[in-house]
Amino acid sequence: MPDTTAAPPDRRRVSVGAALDSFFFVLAGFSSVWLAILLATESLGLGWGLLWFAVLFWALLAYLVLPRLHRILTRLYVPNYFIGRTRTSDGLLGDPVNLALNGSAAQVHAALAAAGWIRADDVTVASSLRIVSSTVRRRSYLQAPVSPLLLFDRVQDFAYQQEVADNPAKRHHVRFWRCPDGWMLPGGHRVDWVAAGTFDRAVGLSLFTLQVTHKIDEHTDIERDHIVASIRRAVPETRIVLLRDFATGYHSRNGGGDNIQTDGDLPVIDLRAMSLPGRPGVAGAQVGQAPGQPGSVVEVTGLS
Amino acid sequence: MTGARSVEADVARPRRPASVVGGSLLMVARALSGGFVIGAVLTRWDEFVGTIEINGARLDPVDPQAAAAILGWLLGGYGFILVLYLGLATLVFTGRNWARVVAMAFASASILISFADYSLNGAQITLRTSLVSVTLDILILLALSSTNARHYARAVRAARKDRAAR
Repeated sequence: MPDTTAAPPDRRRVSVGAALDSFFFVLAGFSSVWLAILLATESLGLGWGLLWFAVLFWALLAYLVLPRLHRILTRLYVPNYFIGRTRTSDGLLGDPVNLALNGSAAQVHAALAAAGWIRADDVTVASSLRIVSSTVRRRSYLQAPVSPLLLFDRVQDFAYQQEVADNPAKRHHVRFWRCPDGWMLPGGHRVDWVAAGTFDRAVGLSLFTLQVTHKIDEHTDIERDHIVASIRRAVPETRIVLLRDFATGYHSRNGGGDNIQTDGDLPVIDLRAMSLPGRPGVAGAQVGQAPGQPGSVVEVTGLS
Repeated sequence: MTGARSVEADVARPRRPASVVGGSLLMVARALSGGFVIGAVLTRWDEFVGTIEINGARLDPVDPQAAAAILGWLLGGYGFILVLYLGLATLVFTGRNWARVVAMAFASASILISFADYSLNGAQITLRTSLVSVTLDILILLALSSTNARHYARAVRAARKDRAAR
C-alpha cells in the first residue's frame, strides 16, 4: 500500500482502533479456552452433586469458546470471496448457494408469496424464544426466523420458508442476498440475487459445533428444484436459465456437520417478465440479450 | 419495517446487539460482586480491622483508630472505583467506543494478572477464591470484543457524527 505514510490522522486512529480490537478479540479467544480449563478442573473436584456445572461448561464451550476459536481460525484460512458457499456467523462454511434470481425486490417477494412461501421473521429475542417454545411444544410457527448466514460479508437480506406438517422442526427454507452492484457470478453471468435453499429435517445437536441447531437434508438439489418448481407453477412468466455444472458436483458438509451433496447445477430464475399490480413486466425481447421466451427453460452448458 | 420514518430512525439509532446488552449486564454483575465484598467486610468490621498490617506488624493493637481509618479508606476507594465502573457500564450500553475499549482493557489486565498468578505462582482459582470474578472478566471481554459489539459502537459513533453535521 503506497499511501500508508501519507494517511490522514483520522484514518490512522481508526487503524489503531482496529488493531486494538483484533488484539482483544484474540485475547478473549485464548482467555475463554483458559476459562474452559478452569471450569473443567473445578467441576472435577465438585463430584456428581453439581451436574449443572457440566451444563454450564457445555454452554460455555459450544456458544462462546468454540465460536470465537472458529472465528479467529476461519478469518485466517477461509477465503472471503465468492466460492458458492455461504458462511455461518462463526465463519464456517454453511449452506451451498444453489439459486440465482433476476428481478426487482418487489417481483421476488410477489413471486414467492404467490408460490406459497412465507417470509421469516427477523431474529430477535422474542422470535427466538417463540421458535424454542413452539419446537418443544410442537406448535406451528409459520414465520419462524432462520439463523443468519453470511455472503458478501453480510447476513441474508430476507428468508422465506414453508413449514411441513405443522412442525417447526421441519421446513423448507431459502435465504436471499442482493448481489453488489456490477457483481457477476463466476463465468460472467450477471444476476440480481443469489439464494441458498435447504430443507431442515430435524432439530438436534451438531457434533461439529456442539450447538443445538436445525439439521439439513443431505440432498440440497431436491430443495433447489422444489423452489424452482413452486415459483414456475405460480408465475407462468418465469424464465429459467439453467447453468449446467456451474460448480463441480460435490459431496461435502456444512458448518453444522450435516452432509450436503449436489450436482453443481445453478438455476437462474428470471422474474423480470413478471407483471405486478400497476407495473407490467418487461417483455422477453427487452431483457437485454437474455435468451428464451417467458415460461421457457434455457440450458447453458460448457464447451465440451 | 415500512415507511421512510422507521428507516430514518434506524439510521439515527442502530439496533443494540445482545453482546452489548449482555456485556454491560456482566459489568454490572462484576460491580455488584465487588459491592458484596464491601458488604461482607462491613458486617465483620472488627475482624477485618484486625488484619490491617504495616511493615509486617499488626496495627490493630497499637492504634485501633488508625487501623479502622485505613480500612475505611481502602473500602471507600474500592467503592468509588466500583461506582466509576458502573458509569463505564452505562456508557458501554449507550455505545461509546472508548468506554468499550477501556472496559476491555480493564478486563484484559485483570485476566492477565490472574493468569500470571495461576501459571507462575500456581495460584488456585476456584469458586472459593477468584473463579467468579475471573469468569465475569473473561465473559465481559468475549462479549465486548465480538464483531457485533464493535460494529454497534462504530455505528453509534457514525450516527452521532451524522447528527452533529446536520
